[in-house]
Amino acid sequence: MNISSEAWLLLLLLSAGTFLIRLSFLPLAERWNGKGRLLTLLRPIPAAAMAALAVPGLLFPHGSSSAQHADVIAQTLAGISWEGVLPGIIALCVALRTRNTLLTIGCGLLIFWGQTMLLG
Amino acid sequence: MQLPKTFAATPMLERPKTVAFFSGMADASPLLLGVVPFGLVYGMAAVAAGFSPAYTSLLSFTVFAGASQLAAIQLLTDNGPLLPALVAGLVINMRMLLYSASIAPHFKGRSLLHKCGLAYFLTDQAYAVSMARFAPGYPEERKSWYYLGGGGIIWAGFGIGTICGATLGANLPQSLDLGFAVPLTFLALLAPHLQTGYGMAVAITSGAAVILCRALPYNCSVLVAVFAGIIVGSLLEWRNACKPCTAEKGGHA
Repeated sequence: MNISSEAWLLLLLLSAGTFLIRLSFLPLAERWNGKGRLLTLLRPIPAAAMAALAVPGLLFPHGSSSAQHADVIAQTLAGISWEGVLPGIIALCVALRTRNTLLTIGCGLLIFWGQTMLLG
Repeated sequence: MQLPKTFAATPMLERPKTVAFFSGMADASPLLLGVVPFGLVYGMAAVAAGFSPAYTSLLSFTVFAGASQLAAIQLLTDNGPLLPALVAGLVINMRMLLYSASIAPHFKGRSLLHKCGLAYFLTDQAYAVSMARFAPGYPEERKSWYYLGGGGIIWAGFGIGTICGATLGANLPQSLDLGFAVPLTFLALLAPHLQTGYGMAVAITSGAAVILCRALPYNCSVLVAVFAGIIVGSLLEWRNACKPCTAEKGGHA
């Protein structure tokens, strides 16, 4: 198979760029003392990032229409597929009750599959 | 006077760094349920788009960020030029800039080379698992080992998933829809944050923002959502700090 030079360039630049993004602030840690206003800004990041990553996958389990086509919010909302909602809510309850990651993902998956099998 | 223990004389499981490494691994291992399928999905998609299994797999070990690889590869195969594919991939990975800033205080005092190694393993999962564990009082010298244990197993799982997806590809059963495990892993990582009003407010804001901004190009929605969460979180902390009496603190914290 012939891989174009553009593909190799993509590999090189995306790898280097992603690495630099990851490294970015790590060498600067000694400069700030870990307290103060900056820390206030950083504190919500884990919760905000995990919510932003979880919600689209739960509401659009089949990827839905590509982002370029849905140019209005109403269109996006209309594209929500509700089959991920029940497994998501149950998985969330399991997570909050048990704090067990394996059980959380397992329950969510089984209910999602069961639902698909029953409803076709 | 106690003689210094030699490296070999210390049983493996009594070495705190080894223990930290394995406990990082143990805490991150359930997330493989989402990470391996994600590797599979990416590997199958890339091969279906016309890339060789070797190139597809190589990308997972050099870029090591599935969502950006998926987006970049899809844009490059639509006979598109290089730049949009590269920009899309990098924008998706911009959230790691925030992870880097937020985890940096935990890796203070390490050499630059060590930090480069740590940076390579910075993923959503390794970051979230580590941040949940690094409560005040967690021994400083064990933090990077815990993180590397978690990052290492995610790395292995994603690599194996990619290789299987890229080589087996069409031979894998289509009936088993594993893709839904991916958002479930993020949900599991989110759950501990929902036990405070503060975390709940941040998560609801971010979750609503990511849906409302879904139409934005290049997956900007995730970035916008995280910033919306930061704004709400900062406002809550600011309101908290302004309150003269601490009795009210329980109201939203």
